[in-house]
Amino acid sequence: MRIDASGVSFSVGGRTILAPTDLSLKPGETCVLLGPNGAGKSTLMKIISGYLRPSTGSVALDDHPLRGLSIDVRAKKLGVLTQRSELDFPFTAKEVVALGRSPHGESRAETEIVDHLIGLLGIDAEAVYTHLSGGERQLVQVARVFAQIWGSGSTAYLLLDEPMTALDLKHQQDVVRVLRQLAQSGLGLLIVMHDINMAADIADRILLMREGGIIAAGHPAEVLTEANLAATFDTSMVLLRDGDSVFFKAGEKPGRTVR
Amino acid sequence: MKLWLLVVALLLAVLVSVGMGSVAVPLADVIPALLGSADAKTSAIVVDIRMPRTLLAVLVGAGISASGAAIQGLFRNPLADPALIGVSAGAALFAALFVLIGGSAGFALIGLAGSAFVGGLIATWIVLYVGSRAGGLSTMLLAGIAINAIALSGVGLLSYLSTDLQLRTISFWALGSLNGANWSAVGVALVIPLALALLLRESVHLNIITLGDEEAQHLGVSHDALRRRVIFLAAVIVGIGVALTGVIAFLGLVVPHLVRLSMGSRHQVVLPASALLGGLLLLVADTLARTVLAPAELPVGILTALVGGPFFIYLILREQKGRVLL
Repeated sequence: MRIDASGVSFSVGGRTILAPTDLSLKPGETCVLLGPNGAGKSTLMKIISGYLRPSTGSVALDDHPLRGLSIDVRAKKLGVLTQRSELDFPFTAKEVVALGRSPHGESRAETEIVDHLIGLLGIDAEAVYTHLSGGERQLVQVARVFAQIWGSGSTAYLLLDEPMTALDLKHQQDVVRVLRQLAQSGLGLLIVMHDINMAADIADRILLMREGGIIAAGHPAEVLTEANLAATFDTSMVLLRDGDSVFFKAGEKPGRTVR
Repeated sequence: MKLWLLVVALLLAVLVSVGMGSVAVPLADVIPALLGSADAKTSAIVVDIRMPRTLLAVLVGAGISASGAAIQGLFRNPLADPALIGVSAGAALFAALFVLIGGSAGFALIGLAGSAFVGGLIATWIVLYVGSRAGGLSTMLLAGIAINAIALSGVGLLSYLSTDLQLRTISFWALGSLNGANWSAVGVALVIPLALALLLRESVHLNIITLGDEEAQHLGVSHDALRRRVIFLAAVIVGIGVALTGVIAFLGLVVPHLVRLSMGSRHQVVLPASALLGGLLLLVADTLARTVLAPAELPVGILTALVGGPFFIYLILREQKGRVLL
């Protein structure tokens, strides 16, 4: 029971976007992809979600070739949040979240899940989606994807491409709380994000990506070193310690502040 | 606005419309005439002349409006419209071509409808193809504008080449009119409610596709398959509509918009409500078109464009305040 991407790569017109990469995700595991813009994180996500066909390699979902599974089956096992959604119709927030349950059919239980998530994330159910701010829209889309795999436990996976970039601090905390709850219920999580500190906080495993390849992978404590981060982001990183906690801050190398 | 209110309004409009015209038939005589118990003259007016025209207005108005709503969902753009993206013009071009080649008399109506359907289908496919190659919905709308211009200039060229009699028939499409309504036209138009029923079955999928192609796939909806089905059905409906009544602009754009303003965006509601409201509005417009200048008659397409055009501009201005449309 796991997602296995082996040797997946992607190139367009002779340009390599993603070099051959292996990645596996186990139930209950939270894996975070970190890296600069254009590192191939979203491409890797799209391959693992089955949206992009890899130029080489293959993806298996619970030992079945992913692209051999029908999209109905995939919709029940993979909840996917992409970076952009083009929704431009005045649906209510609740209607959008409910779209996430559509692979499961419409029943009373489905509606209860939608209502529960709306309450959990503090969404205004009747707000018109097109009138919402960027952050509010993102929260609704996150709730929609949560709804899709809610209650699936260890049989489903969540692939989230920058789920929190536009969220305010409170809603980031709300989303993180739900993510932890989902991971505990056995769900495998693969998340692309830019916030290194949050990644260090929630990840069981971190993959640092740069120029279409993984340059370091492992437990946050092993991977998140100043040297690795500098090599990944091409900018100096300062590591701040406060007791057992570690914080990262972009900054000049000599200004190292270790207490 | 509730669906049943629209049903009641539509039924009332049918009764009133049948009574209106150069010979006024009081409401009290309309129903006996429909049931066959009125005098021969009233029966002839109501049953043979006005009823087919009224039914045709309702069927075509319903079809154009609901397929407008479906195409807007599919293109994820509230400003898409069969007439704007070239479907109607493509259908008109092929209908004109059929007239010029001279379809055999016996099958003229069905041949005309089939030909218009093919034209609508080709136009929509080109728009989708350009959109998928060059990316983006704005590209598709721009491609639609180009198709529209090309098809209409084709209609212009054909009218230049045509005989006087053919010219009359061709210019009828350019303007849009229900003048040619008769019972056999209504018979052909009965395909519209069938196609609408099939379109209604795509409601949930249309809701999902508005999220985006990739999002739809992750929710188990194949955008390619949905696109093929919806475009086929819309081309059937618009093709038949254009073959029978010519190009009726703006109805497919304005009606779904009005529906969404008051009834939300779920296609389970938007499609049937657009059909009812569209049938109602085209019937009202046609009743006006044939009575205001009586005994002369205004092509109803001119009327819908005269009212719909400014309303469209108003919508653009209103929408631009809140968000980017293209």
